[in-house]
Amino acid sequence: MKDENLERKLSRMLAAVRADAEPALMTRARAQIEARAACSATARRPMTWWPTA
Amino acid sequence: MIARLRGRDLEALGELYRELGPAMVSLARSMLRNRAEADDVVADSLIRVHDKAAGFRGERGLRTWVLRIVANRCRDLLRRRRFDAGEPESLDPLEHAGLRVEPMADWDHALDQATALAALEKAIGRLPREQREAVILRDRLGLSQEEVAETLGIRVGAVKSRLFRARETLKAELRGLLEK
Repeated sequence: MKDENLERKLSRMLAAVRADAEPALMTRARAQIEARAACSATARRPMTWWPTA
Repeated sequence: MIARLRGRDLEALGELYRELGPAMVSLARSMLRNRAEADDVVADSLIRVHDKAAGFRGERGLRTWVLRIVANRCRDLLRRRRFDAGEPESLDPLEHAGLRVEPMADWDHALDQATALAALEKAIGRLPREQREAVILRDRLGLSQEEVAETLGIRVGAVKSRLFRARETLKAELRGLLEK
């Protein structure tokens, strides 16, 4: 087989393989971002009580 | 979209994922050849995009910036893998990686497509990481050589050289199978 043919076939094979972007990955990232934001909002909340000895 | 991403708009991040998600997932799964690890990398990369968007100056295109984040996460993971034996021989490398095949219109039917593509994936998996990145970005994701250079943070000349070496290796490994 000529090198050009082999190269063409290889390029077609490389381009034919791909993956789908499942929405679940975005949902996962979003949930982590929101959980982190909620956590830092709690940490920033001023203390409304003071521990007594 | 970039202005909204800078403002940490999660809807904009969702739009970005709809547009660039297939390339992000294809890159991570092709590089790591392990679906679960690749999906972790993509989710982490989306969080990083969200965190870093405010500093994105747009000197590079958004696509190359995002793919660079994914490529860097893949590199970190590959470095941490102490022993990478690849996928077990018995497994279909495409299925294991979570990749699928688009129909190839002018495929030579004398050649078993599944066997050829499995052999190709295994050969890609054996390439040095630098060559694997270049060949996936250029030949699988369809980026230009300039975009590959931007994504990897290297010169176009280095991209050309990595692509040449990768293709020579892949041709040498697959010649026997494809010439049948």
